[in-house]
Amino acid sequence: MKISYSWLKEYIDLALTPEELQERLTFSGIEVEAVERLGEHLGQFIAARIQSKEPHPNADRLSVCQVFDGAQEFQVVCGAPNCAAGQIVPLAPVGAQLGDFVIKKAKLRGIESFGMICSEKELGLSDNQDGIMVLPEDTPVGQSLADVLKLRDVVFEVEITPNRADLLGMIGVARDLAAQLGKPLKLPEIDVGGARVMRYGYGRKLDLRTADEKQLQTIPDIGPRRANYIAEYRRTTGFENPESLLRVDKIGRKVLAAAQGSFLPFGEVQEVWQSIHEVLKLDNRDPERCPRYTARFIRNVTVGPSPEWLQDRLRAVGLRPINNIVDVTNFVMYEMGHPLHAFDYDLVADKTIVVRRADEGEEFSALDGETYKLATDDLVIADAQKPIALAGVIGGENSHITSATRDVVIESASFLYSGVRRTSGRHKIFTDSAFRFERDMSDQSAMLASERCAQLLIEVAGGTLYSGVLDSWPSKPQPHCVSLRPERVRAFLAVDIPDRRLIRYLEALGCRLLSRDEAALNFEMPYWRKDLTREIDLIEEIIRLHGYNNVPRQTVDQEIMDRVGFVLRRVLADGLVADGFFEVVNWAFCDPEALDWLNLADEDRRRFAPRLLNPVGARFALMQPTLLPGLLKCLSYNVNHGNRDLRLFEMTKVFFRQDMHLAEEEYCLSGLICGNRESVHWDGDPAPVDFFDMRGVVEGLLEHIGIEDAEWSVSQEPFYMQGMAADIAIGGVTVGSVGRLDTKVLERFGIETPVFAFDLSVKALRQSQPSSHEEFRPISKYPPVLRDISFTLDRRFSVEEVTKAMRAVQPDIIREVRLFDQFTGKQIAAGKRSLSFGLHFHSDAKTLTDDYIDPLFARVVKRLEQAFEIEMR
Amino acid sequence: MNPQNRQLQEIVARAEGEIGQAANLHDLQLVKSRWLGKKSELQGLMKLLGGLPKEERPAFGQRVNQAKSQVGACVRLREETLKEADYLRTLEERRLDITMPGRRRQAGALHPITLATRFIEDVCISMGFEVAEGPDIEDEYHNFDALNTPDDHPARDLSDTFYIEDDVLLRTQTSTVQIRVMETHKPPIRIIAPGRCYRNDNDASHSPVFSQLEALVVDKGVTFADFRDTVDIFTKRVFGEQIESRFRPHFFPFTEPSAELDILCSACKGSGCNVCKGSGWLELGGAGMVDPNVFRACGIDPEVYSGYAFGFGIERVAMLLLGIPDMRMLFENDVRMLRQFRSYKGVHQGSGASS
Ligand SMILES: [Zn+2]
Repeated sequence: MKISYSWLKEYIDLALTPEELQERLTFSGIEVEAVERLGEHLGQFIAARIQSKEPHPNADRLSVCQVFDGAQEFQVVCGAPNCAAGQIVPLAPVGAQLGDFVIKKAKLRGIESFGMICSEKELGLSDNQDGIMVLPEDTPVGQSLADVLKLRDVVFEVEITPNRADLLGMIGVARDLAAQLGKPLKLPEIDVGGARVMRYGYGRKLDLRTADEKQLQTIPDIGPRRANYIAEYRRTTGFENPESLLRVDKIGRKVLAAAQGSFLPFGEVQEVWQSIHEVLKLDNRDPERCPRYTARFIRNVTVGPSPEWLQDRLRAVGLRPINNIVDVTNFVMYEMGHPLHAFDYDLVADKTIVVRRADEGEEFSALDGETYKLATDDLVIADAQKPIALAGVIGGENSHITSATRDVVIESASFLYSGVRRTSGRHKIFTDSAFRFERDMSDQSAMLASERCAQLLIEVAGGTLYSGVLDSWPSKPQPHCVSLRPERVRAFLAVDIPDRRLIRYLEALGCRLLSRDEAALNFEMPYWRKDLTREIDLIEEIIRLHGYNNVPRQTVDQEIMDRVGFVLRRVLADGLVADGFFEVVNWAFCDPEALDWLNLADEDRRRFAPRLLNPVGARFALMQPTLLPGLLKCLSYNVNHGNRDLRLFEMTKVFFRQDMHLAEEEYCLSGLICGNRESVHWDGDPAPVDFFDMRGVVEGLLEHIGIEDAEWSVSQEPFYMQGMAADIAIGGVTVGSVGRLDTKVLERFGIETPVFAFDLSVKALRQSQPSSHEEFRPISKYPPVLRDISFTLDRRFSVEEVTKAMRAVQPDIIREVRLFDQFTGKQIAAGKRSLSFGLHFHSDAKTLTDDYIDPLFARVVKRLEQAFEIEMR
Repeated sequence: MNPQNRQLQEIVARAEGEIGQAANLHDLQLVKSRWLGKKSELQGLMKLLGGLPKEERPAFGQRVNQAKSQVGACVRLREETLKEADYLRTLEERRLDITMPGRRRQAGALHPITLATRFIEDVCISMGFEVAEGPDIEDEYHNFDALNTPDDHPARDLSDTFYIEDDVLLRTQTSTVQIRVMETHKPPIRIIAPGRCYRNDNDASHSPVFSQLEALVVDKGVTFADFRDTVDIFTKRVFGEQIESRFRPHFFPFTEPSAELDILCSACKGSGCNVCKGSGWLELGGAGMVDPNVFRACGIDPEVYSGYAFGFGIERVAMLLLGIPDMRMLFENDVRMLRQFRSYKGVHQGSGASS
């Protein structure tokens, strides 16, 4: 459904910008799917006056106009026959965009033209292209057309959830907003009896100078007595200025202001009303399918185009204006949410309306031009002879309003939603009307919509409204009552909302407080909210109006409840288990001597381990600052028990303490491998693990937790063998190390076999882990090209720097550089090695040809020659 | 029959004989070129064509061609037979012993303590608990004072508690986390705190370093009945639907009323065995309604809020769930034992799964 911002403002003082309104709608449960800004394209057109018009010297049909835009005069060549000096017209100045082309300075048959005077069609306002559009005489020259035509509006395409039938009209949306914003809802005051006066709406404004006494009486702020005084005063003084009425008894500024803001009742105020009962009969034969049917009658309307304001409203919400009668029914449907229908009275046979089931196979020609074969399950509105409408779904061709229509019957009814859904589905007729009835319209709103429709019809089409209404409403639904326990609300929502605020929220939605006792508030639900039936429904409304996001959230202290860290630790452990590692758990103590065995320097952070005053024994005197001693002890135990191929890890806290009250504690993850890569397999010989096995483990772990760009550099950790260990950094922050443990270190722990270790700070990993999930990257449509490159170079250059250098030549095309061979031997000079890489060239934009790749490849070679003195092989 | 025809028949017969003798596809190729090639006898017969009376020539030519296609068909048939035999032979040669082990990295395993911790955490998370953590190295305030443990309480004895400084110690229970959570979070609170604790005793059933898990619930209107129910649901989800729990009145300084939490012996289901020393019940841990003094220490109004806590040792649960007989085995980390617990049975598969 579409909601017009400016239309909505009729019913509520909206201080919100359209953007704020959109946000507000979204958080009240009305999802905004699209926003359309009307009139934006009209902003560049301006109202201009034609100062003079001369015939074009070289063309009979053209004329040369001097046009004034409020600031300066232009010469414009115009081809429209209806243009004339003195007219105010829409001008597209040079630079304005008109459809697909931009207005430029032009020469038309030798005469220069600076702009274009537009027709309605050219402006996209209507299909009318009979000459230029002429604006009213009092239009201010120079104003933008969007403002002149009051076409600026913002329209929201919204999705109304099926439970909220009440939101299918502007007033419903306004009511919900008013409840949220704590603002009054301004309902159009509807009156069809002549006694009440509409306060808001589109009636004629009261003119105190000309209104007769009878009209004055109907204004509530004036009343019969003051009306009499005013009439008397005017008669005696030759009244000119309404201000002078202040001299009249009983009229102060307040009354005067109110009276001047009032509107006259629509139509004629009649002494004696003719009754509808004299002209129309109603026979509702299926009250189950049609719980309520109402009809009104207006005599002698004038069918024609609707006034601009009405057309604008309809266009804004995407409806096409048809004629004033149909337009009013559509307007009321969009205003009140309740669909209605108008018939041509002359075409109603026997002046009787029958609500009945269709006969099997009965034919019905609908407004859409199709003829439908009806089923007995279809409910029709018929006259004495034939169906004139498919109830709630679509009107009939045989009775619709035409320019010849004189007398109109307004139908406003409620139909059983399931029946409408079946009929609409059976015949595949999907109308605004069916859409609404399927969502269960209330009986009560039928009457209100009928009154509103009658009121507007008389205003825009004239005619005389007959008194009374045909109203078949055999079983009136009982108002629904729901008890609400305020304590329950507060307990459920954990929000302290006082009773009076609860009441205010619910009353704003139309709920009526019937009674209250100690424990509960008893509310009567408004008829338009059939979805509110239980206490929990009211609680939902309260929290919706209060704001879901105004509920205080528990502040989660990251140190105490670190969900991310919790999950990360599980992911790391699972990754290692899948990679063949066994987890070990050691006491958290550490032998002080073990720190010496690890060659830790005196100033090493790990030397500052918390020391126990009363340890279990001297070998357990410290809280562990590293997991390696414990792991080495486990490895030694297992090797001694005959398990030679080991993959072990431990993940727990390590502790540091330097002049602080408690201690620094952080999670650490360390692992060891030794023995053979795989346990014995019948196919192939087992090979001993090496540095690259352990580096692979860490690479896999990092990849597993989403870290892609680790930097590897030579490690200085004292417990690794020189040149066989790497520090791992992410974004410049060291997260740990991996390497082969020094033989002497191992000996001290009683281990003779080579052991490789990794040592990672979970805390650092957690901080380096990308906070968001990976995003999908489109897969190139074009094939990759693979080229190999082999060369020898000095051993002092690392594969990482060579790889980076190659990629850097053109990173968007050279997507990957993968080492696939290293070779040293007799053919290679001492101190050198041969490396072979696969280069993946790939583009998202094109197929890479040799013509493209050859020079690029040459650049790579050149770069390598310059930086690393390579020799191609 | 004229002599040429007889000759033809004889050739075909010999060819078919040789084709049938061809033992493999290679031989068959040689035979084929011998009988159908340019220099074959059949091709030679065509030369006789010129010597025949004009009217016999077409018929003879036709017969030679028939003979050729007869020989050709025979070759194809033999070829198919040989190919099929070849295929069957290949299959036989390549037959696998599919009982031989696959090529893979042997999976590792989590430690039994981690398995039990995760299992309990998952049960609790499924019951709406948040996981909270606190420091292992604590101060006396959080470990004792705030937990309503008076100065003269035997628990404060140096012989039970590891100290780092006068008032800095290794926490003796994870209840310290309760205090830290209540100090920083407003109720409602619904947390579990898994973590390591330290007590200075070391024997067959005690380790100086052990793991505990404590649950804490604080809210308005939390009752003893809620407490009883939550504990019951928890123990059944962890140990199995048929494992009842019971409370035995007890004393803890930080709860009031306090209880020891027992569960039905999972080994004998209550009939009495060695595991439960004949009683039918196993002591799992401690439980109780949070003492108002603990609330006051954390700035929570005990008139408004109430709550409960329960906790137990994870090693004990691991031993019960996995049937490990001696706590010391848990810290030996022998891969021969670790290897036994390769598959993690999650909450929905665990012993508690009944529905
Ligand atoms: Zn037992």
